[in-house]
Amino acid sequence: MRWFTFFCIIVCISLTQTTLIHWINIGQAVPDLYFPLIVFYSFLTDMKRNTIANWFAGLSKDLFSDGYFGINAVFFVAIGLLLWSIRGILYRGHVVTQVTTTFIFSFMYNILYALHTTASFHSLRFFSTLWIIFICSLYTALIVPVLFWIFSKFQPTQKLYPHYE
Amino acid sequence: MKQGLEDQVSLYKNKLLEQQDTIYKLESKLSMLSKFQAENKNSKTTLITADIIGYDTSNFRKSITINAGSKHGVKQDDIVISNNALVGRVTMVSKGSSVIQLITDPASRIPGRVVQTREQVLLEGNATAFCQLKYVPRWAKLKKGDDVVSSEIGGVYPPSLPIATVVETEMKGGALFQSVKVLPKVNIANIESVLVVTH
Repeated sequence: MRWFTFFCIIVCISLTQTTLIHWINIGQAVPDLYFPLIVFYSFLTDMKRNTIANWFAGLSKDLFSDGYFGINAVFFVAIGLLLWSIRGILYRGHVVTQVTTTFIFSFMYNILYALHTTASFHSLRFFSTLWIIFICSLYTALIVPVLFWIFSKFQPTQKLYPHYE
Repeated sequence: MKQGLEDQVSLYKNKLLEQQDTIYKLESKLSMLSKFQAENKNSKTTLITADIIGYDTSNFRKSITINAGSKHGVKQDDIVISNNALVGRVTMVSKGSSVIQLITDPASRIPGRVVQTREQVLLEGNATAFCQLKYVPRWAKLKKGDDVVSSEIGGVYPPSLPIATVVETEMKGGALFQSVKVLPKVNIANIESVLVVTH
């Protein structure tokens, strides 16, 4: 795993997510560009590297968000570990697996974040945010093929499905 | 020769576009400043114009980053307006930039008053494009199109600053208060610069 490349990707994602949000959203659906990176590294690195990568991805998201600093890092590490632990039973090289997994885990992450925000500020109604969570997770999952293709170009030494070859 | 001339024309066209955009931005800032100063002639406030340079990365938090910070005179809890309507409050200040908590953020609570009925309300964000009014009594006769302005209770916000318009009222059986949905006067997706009001 190339750490320099990883940090360059993180900077690019942060810049895109913070400055081009009104160009990449479709109505209320805003893609989370960090999340495909979590899935990508959970699919192809060992536990230690996966944890470090997810921690830094979460911290960079926290840096540009008004929430509690570190909350995204904790959620990303937890989701990454869960995904890493079940990756053996997934056919990681197939685009359908990548899209479906991203959708399910992005949905779980958003639910966790919404629950945390609801508990912190009672103004956020959890059930009224379910639709937003669904469309945001779906949008995030749909851009996965493109992002995975870009990520794999920058991490050519890593294979998504080494044990199937 | 012809290719060279075409390149030059294209270059000048692009420069013209760039200048038109700059003029538009400056005109918009000037108009914002003039409007606010015309309506607040006697107020002891200083205005700082700033451009929006970033948005929040989270789906459930609503904040923006502007290119004015402590070296420009911005302080924590200063209020931010656009087109004479409230946008939010400064929550974090660094040397060259500041973070603004928008009125649609779930952590935002703004004391307000309904202009038409004079009801005292609390406006809170819920991470959508809309906000909701809290503690509106069941007997308050609010209707679609009523305006909500800021109230000086709490001392953070100046009084009578337009915030939102009522779009929906709902009376739930058994609830102590009405459920009122309001639309902020400023659509954050349509603006590129804001005014920071410092005291």
